[in-house]
Amino acid sequence: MSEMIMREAIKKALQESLENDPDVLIMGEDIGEYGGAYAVTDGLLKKFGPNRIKDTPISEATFIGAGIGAAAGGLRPVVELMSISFSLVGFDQIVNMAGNLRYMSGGQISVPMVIRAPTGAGVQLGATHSQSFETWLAEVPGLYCVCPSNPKDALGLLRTSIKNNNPVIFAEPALLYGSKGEVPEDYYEIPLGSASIVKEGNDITIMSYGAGMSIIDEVNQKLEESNISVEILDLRSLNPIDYKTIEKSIKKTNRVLIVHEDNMTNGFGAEIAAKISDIGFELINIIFGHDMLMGSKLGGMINWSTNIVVDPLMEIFFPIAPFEGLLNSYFLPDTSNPMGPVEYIGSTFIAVSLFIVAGIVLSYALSVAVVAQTITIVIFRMKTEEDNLLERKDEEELEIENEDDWSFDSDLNIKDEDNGS
Amino acid sequence: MATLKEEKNKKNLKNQKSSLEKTEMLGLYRQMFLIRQFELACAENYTKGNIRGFLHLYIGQEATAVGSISCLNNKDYIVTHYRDHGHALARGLDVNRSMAELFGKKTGLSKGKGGSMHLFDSARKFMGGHAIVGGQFPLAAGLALACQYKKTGGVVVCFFGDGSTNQGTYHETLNLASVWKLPILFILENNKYGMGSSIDRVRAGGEDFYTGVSTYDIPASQVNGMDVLAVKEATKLAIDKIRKEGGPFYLECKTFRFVGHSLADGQKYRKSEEVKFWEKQDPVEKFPKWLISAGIINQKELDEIKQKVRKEIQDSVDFANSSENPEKSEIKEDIYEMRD
Repeated sequence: MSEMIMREAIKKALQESLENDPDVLIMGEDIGEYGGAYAVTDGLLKKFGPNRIKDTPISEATFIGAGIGAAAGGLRPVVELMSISFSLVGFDQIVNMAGNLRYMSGGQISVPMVIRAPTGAGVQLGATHSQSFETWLAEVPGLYCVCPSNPKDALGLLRTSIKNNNPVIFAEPALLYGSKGEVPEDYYEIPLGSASIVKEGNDITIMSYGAGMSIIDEVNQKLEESNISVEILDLRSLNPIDYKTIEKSIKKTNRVLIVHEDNMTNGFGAEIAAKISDIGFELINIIFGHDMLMGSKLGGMINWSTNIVVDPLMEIFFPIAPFEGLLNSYFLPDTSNPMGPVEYIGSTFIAVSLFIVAGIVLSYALSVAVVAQTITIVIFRMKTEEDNLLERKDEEELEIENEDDWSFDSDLNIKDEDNGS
Repeated sequence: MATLKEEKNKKNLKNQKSSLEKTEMLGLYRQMFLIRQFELACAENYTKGNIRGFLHLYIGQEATAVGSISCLNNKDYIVTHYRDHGHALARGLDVNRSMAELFGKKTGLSKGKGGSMHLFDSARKFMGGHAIVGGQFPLAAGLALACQYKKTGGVVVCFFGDGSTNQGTYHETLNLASVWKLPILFILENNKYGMGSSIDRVRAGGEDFYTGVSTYDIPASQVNGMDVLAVKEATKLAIDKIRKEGGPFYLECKTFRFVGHSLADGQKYRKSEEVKFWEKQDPVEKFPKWLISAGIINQKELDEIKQKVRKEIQDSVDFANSSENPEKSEIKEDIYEMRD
């Protein structure tokens, strides 16, 4: 193992591919002479020359499309976008060409290319450069979509992505380019569509990908202080999603926290939440939203604190003692808690075992200079005998209510009679 | 003074040349007539409900596709727009499988997944009709980059209509192709209308397009797109230049579609006099008349060609009709290459 920063790990994968496969070439804005906006490709031009390290005009639609054409013509291009927000300019090419060519040609045309792009908020760039469109691209058929959170995964995933015969969106959290991590000395690859179990645990599954993983680390530390055993999943791949690993984990822990960097409405976490509910868990409600302003000078999330996630988690999942009688004890959270929405959930359910989905959600603040992030927690629980009894009781009550509501029917009857007379 | 032998050789050569010319000429006519008959059969089967979706016919523009594509070899790529039947047939794509594709059948070029606007045959380097206007330009640039990078000697021919010249990708790709010296022949099929919008209403810069391309430092010319021999000659010069000197070339073909934008078009936006004016230049009518008057072929040979083509088209309709629909499971196939 050796220590490496994220930027170097990505560069290592690019360099290896250029050395090993003459069909690999890299294209993008200012990746050559300038060395790349985030310096990922710095030095590659000198080593591999302008035929393989191609500076492009500022024409995202066209150089993305040219990458697609080059791939269809037998090359293996890696196209770099300066920001994933710029993918919008080339969206037609990414979706209609990269995504649809294989399908519409009945499998005749392959597009073996990678589109690399820095993604995410938190580097004081305003709304246009702080978005996370990997979650949009993750829903496009024909594309793979990955988002690594550490140097080891970045290296392993990029190696696999370049070798893959399909178009791959490779989203790189801009916040993490300088982050360090251990990387194995021996050659390895990481298959696309595989989540990693970062840490095994029994009480709760917390999952994310990309920059969300650093928030999970903080939350984990706090929970460990209370002797809560956390299982951490790094999804790594947004399409395909490794549901096998997710299912195995949540069936063990029975509690889930999902952290995503995405918009709240139709966000990526909702996709996973829906699937979780599909495999036997019931969504209760969204209970909590919190805005975090990403300030100007601080360059980060100024009022972010792990307690934003940890407090309601503790409140809901582990109200008294984490290991004592949770599964067979009823509880109501403290209604004096300042977290208003928690009160709401406290009054709407009887806790048996719960599932929480939290999202770090990007939304737009009115101010141009400030982008707000929102944390949303969605609660799930598994249906139990208790629920079934309650449901039956509700249904019975409903039936009684209907019986009581005879006057409505009789009004109709009267009308009918009137009509008939 | 030339010997008798030399003179005999010269005569033989001349005969061979004229015989080659005759074969070529007949080939050009046959293809134009094939496209015309194919399109008429498409229209008929569209009204019968055998073909659904949008149907854009190439009627009137045959000389452009046939003249230009006749200059290409098997290393060259073709990328085109959604009015793509003519280019596909001129490139020699299987008539039966093309018709079956329009019928949405399993035996279609793309197993029925592309339809009228998206014909593909990668074996013939026919890389698609593309239905997002202007979307094909960057793809052409990329294919040309692959030719250049691999030094195959291939040229990419990118067909596009006048409507697409107002898209950003048009200007971006002209610029990129010039900067990177990509081997692309841009062929503009200027039929004066982007759907129902006359170029007079949507274009600044007049009715000629090729003059504006000098901005991108790309050599350009203009040709009568209704004259198959003129198109062939202009394309040959352009392709030779690209192969010899590298870099792109821009050829504007002035042409006209005799029918509506699609079969749903009532053509309220243009006068019937204009259509009649252009119909007098119909290449499928004028070219064979010239061939006969020049003594290159006789009426009998012409009729034989027509008869064979009509049968070929009828066979393709029968083939498409009798082909099976794709299985339902096919909807999930061909999205990814080798994915579990």
